[in-house]
Amino acid sequence: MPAPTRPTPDRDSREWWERVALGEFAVQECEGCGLRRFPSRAFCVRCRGEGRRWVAIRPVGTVESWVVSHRPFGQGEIVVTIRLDEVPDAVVHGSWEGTGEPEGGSRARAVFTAVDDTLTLVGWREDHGATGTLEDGPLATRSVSDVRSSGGAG
Amino acid sequence: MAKRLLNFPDRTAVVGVGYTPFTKDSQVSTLTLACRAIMAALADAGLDPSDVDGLATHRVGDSVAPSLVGPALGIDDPSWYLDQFGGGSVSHAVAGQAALAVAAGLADTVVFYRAINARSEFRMGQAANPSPEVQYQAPYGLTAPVQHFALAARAHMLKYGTTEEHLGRIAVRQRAHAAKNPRALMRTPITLDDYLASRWIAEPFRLLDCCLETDGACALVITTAERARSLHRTPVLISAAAWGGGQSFLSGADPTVSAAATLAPRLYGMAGLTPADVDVAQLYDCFTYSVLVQLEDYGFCAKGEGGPFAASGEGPPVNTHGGFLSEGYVHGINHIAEAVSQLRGDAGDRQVPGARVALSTSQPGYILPATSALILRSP
Repeated sequence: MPAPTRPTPDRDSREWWERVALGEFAVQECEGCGLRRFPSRAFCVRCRGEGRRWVAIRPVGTVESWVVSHRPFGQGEIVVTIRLDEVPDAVVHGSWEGTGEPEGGSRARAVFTAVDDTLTLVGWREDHGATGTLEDGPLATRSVSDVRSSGGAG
Repeated sequence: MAKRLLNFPDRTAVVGVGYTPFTKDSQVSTLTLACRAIMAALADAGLDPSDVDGLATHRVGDSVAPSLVGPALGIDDPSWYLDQFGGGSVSHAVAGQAALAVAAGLADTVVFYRAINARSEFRMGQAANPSPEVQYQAPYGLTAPVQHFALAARAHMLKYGTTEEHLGRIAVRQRAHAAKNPRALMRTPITLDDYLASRWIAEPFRLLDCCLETDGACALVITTAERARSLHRTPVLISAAAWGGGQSFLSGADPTVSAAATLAPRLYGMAGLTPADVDVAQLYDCFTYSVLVQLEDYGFCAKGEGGPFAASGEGPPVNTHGGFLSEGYVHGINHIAEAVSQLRGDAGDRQVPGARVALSTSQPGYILPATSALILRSP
């Protein structure tokens, strides 16, 4: 596998990437109306307020689509589109790290992979009925050093 | 919102079209391509560069600005110009804005050109993409337009049962059109088996789902409907132009609905027409799926029925020049040029008999979250 293209966080997204590096899947929640949003940005699309706080969510969702990339874009790698349970207006893309091809509408949960000391990426795999709270997944048991020491899978 | 009376429909006309050859390696600069297409379009209109007082284009860091092209052709003091950022989603918006400038009296005769060496110099996906969404996609290898459209196509398959054969029929039919088009890069007919045997690019897309990266240029001359009557070509009136609509798909919009769904009512409303009035449709076809979803979103069939509808060939003839899949890919402007040709009745072997109303459309909002379209008609 070639090294992944490094993301270039911007002034809206830097904290999101910092939280990912700590093993947290966070989204912004509007302080005015409570609407959650992803990706991170300044304004709430519903009440147009700027006030927001970061909240960790259960990184689980539903497979909405996927693409299998071939030459020149890849060698069979799969990228999935996941609709997040806790932010149903948002989707997130990431590598499919499950078994075989995904199935439409099937359940998935995040897999955090530390590529190196400064970059952690979020992939996805099947979710076999875990309740998906922050306390019960492998995610919650990984310390930052655990996450970072698991590098190499990406 | 109050309904306003528009002083726009049918006030302007396309009076000339011009092309360079479509190739895989033009061997010349984009400035040269632009100048050649503009000169061809002016010759078609029976006009001269000295008649031009407006220039418009769009680009993504891959072509030449009006400020370079104008002086190169001795158009030293255009009273109006537009140098729009964007690729396929804005092509018809640029034509629409050129027509607006003419209708408003800011310019009398505007040339819209698009000139690219999209195969030999700047391949799509390599140009700088300013969208902040890229940071959430590129690390996973999601970088190319074909992958984004493949995700949308898969979602349509999952939701509505659309099949690869449905997509394949679109490619096969457009190649049959291209066989009748001397300009087309790919003129050898294909079968559904050829389609199914073509190699995967980004599943569910095969090679034959994808447009042809092309070197080439195309230009259109737009002037007032009044002036058009004194020129030697049959004028083609611009009945409606609309742009906008759409949402970012990373923000969770349904990928089975394109920006065209938002745009279409405004477009048809401006022209006072309905989908049933459209005699020929040039639908942006960077990939087969974009044709399918636009058949739904421009109202030719119900949402979800685009697969069987496209496969059956019902509705108006679509992409009669072969489209980007088979003629060549100049980001939308060659769809407008083909619509003009059909409405003038000079499309040769591929002429749709009696065509009087044409729809021509831009990339339906899957990369930049907006689209644009025109309705053209013969006078």
